[in-house]
Amino acid sequence: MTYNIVEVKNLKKYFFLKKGVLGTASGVIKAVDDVSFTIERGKNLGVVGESGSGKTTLGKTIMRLYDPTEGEIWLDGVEISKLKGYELKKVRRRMQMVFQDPASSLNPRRDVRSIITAPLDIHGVGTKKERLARAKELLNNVELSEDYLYRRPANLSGGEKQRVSIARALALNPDVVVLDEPTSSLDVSVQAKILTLLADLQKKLKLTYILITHDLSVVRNVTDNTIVMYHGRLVERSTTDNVFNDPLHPYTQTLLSSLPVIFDEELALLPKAKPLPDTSARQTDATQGCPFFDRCPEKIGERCLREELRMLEVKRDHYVSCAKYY
Amino acid sequence: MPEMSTDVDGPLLDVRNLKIHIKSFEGLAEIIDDVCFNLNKKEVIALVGETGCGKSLTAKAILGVLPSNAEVVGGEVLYKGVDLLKLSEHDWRSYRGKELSMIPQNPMVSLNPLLTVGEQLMDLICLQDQPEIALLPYYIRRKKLKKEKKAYDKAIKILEDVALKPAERVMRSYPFQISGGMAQRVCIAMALLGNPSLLVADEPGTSLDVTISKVILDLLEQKIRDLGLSVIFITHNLAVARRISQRILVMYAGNVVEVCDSDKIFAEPLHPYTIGLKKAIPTLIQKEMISIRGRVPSYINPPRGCRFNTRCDRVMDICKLEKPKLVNLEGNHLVACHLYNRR
Repeated sequence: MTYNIVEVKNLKKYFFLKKGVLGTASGVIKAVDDVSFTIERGKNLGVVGESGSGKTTLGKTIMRLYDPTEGEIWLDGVEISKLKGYELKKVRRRMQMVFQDPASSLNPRRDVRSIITAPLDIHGVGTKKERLARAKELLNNVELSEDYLYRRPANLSGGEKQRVSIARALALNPDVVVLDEPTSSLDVSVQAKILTLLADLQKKLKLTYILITHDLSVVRNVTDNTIVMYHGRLVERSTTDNVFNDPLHPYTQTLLSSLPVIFDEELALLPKAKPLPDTSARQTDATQGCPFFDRCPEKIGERCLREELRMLEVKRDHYVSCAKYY
Repeated sequence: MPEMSTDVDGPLLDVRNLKIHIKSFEGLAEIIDDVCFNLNKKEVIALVGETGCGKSLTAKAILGVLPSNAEVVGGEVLYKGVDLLKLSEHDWRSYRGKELSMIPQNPMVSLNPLLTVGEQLMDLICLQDQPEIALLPYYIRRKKLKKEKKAYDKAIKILEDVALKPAERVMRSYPFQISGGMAQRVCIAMALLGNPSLLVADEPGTSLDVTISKVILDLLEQKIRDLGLSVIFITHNLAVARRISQRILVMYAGNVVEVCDSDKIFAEPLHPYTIGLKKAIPTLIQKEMISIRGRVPSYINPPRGCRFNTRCDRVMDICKLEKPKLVNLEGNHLVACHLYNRR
């Protein structure tokens, strides 16, 4: 019997563009459009996609930092998409986020102690003394010495800032941690350290990670399941092994084939490169149909635009939304 | 103006014992320490290394655009036999843009946000014929600049050369109106404008998505082939370096530690730092990632001897005393490490 810690059903997050003083709606951006998936406890989920595909918005919506436009989010059997006030605050203790850029998500005027204990202050956990003790414990967890307690972000290196960010996210003993591009600003040798640290913490604290990144090799090494996003839509969802060994959606294939690799053994694993039409912006105006249509090397014509998009289980536990498989 | 011999045997660019110091608030930072390498005609080499290892600074020294607090304290940069470090600003005019050119690190930031892409391109085209005003303050320069009639057509043509379509629309756009990939193409077009023979590419494509980055690299590769360029490609992405270059130079803390053919270097790395990098890179083959212990040393009081000695697993006594020299082992594989010096 598997146990789902997070369940997302048909989640939508639209941003409405406003124009002029009266704020009349002039357009809508579908940042997250009809996304569903589940995460088992202790199984990491990788969210892959290019910039602007809605990865971060998805993460923030699950965290309830954005109010979802539609859909349901279940955390450990509780529907949290419509919670408010005290109820929401209670749920927030169980899920935390490590934000994209540690340099700009740490307050430069506060020291490390106050940054790490901020969640404890907000949720009124412990006395002042206990909070300090907890801060020390957390620093120890992320392998920083106690000397760091009274430093400020400006005096920390990129890797150290990321560790402080992680410590802050762990302060309330969450079950689920959303990691938004945790290593993209770091060098490879530091990246390896942070990823090893995250793996150790997961074992120790029984965490579940949602890893948002555009770095496919990191996803390959860290996650159990992967979802691929394109223009706010889910295009492929399966186990990481399936997505990498047998990508079914043309976009995933393109993504993998354009990955530069170092070792010859890796090259053999990648799908053959297909010529990619060079447009990033969507040219057809149709609101319906496949968002990848303009760039797709394997489009089958009208059907791609006419058919309603849906995730189809093409192989066991391997869902794809592509007209090719309907 | 120093004489430029047209036909020189040997490498196109020869960097010898380059040393650069930077004055900072904390003291004198000895950043580039004895960098030596050469670049043959029509060769693409990649400078790889982590942030702050001196890749960009080396490139800036070659192009003579070092920041004002940096000082070259030793070495030579020989381009076709001429020492670029000794050129006056006046002499530089016949080199910059025409012999050597650069694709800047961040295309979005490098374009002037106040002018349309077309205005910037046409200015550049006109400037090619009027180098004497190139060093004037910007607003005076724009007033004095003689507009060339053919500039517009020429600008359209070079934009089409880098596959920017529709070129007319791009010409009218301000930099914020075009995407990162398009801005990168504009920068490539600008760099190739004066038909340079040496191109320095500083992290092109790294700020872009993988799919777009691949298209940009394809374009660059095609241009390098068509125009017969020699390229110094700076990147921290080892996979990109392997793809585009024939030789890879691994830099660590202001030193070149290993030089090898691109397809061999990660199969059999020799320097402990390169070996460490190989273990730290996440790959599609699942494996444990092992990081290099410690951190990059401070440049203000760098460790004596080998600068990697504080992090090296195979450190010996001699490493802390004597700086290893870059020596050629078999088959163009150069390493600066005492482990291999004893032979």
